[in-house]
Amino acid sequence: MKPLHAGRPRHAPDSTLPLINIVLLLVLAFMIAGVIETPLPEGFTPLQSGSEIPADQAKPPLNIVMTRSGETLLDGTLMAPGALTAALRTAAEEERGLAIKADSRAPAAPVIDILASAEDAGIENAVVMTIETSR
Amino acid sequence: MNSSGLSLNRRRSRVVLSLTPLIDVVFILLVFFMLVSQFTQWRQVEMSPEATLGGETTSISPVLVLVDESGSYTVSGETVRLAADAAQEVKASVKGDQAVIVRPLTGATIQPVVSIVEALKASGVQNVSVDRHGAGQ
Repeated sequence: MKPLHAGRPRHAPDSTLPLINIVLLLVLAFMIAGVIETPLPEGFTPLQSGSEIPADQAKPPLNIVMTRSGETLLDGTLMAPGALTAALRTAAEEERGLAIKADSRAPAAPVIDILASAEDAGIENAVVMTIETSR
Repeated sequence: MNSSGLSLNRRRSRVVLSLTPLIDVVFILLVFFMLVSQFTQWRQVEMSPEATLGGETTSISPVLVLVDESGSYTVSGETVRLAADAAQEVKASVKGDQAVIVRPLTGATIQPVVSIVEALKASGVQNVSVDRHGAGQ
């Protein structure tokens, strides 16, 4: 007796499956190892230090970026004059810290001013973010 | 009844799952994560503004470290280039819990200020603060 499926080609396993597996693994690796955050301005050179204290991940701080020319950015947008004080007050009320990512060539005075304003607003944990010194 | 069962089996065996849309979506996800992910390992340095320190005022005047435009440090009238050397000078002149104030001068950038604060803390000087008097905008 002739079997019902005689002569019909069996489906060969899809050759793209290993490719999909590898790409999925790459997606997972990027999701786990990478951090999604607001991109830094073009030409930004981070500060360097020998500090080994990692950034505090417990409660996301208020992230302020200072460019080389001394401009202050919050979430990638230029801060209007007076907006800094309001943002610092809100952060203090929410018991968040302050993290300043300053360009290494930025003037020192405005960075110190922001630190002083943060203290005045009641922020207890105000830090300057750096990367490890290149050896 | 038998014939209907056979036709159902045939219909099921004909269904082939196309993987092309899945591959497209996975590739788009991969490109997205490759573009937006950042791998910078950020570290933090604590810098205290001058006004917030010194709750107890002492009769000893603080040790002043001046940072100039070129990134050099002046401690007790002596100018040094490296932060580690400046920190050693400061450590030698600090008495007890005497405060150390790092003061950037006009045109000074933030990198040498962070470097000297870090070097001072690494050399064991605790009462370090930064001050902006003398640093213009």
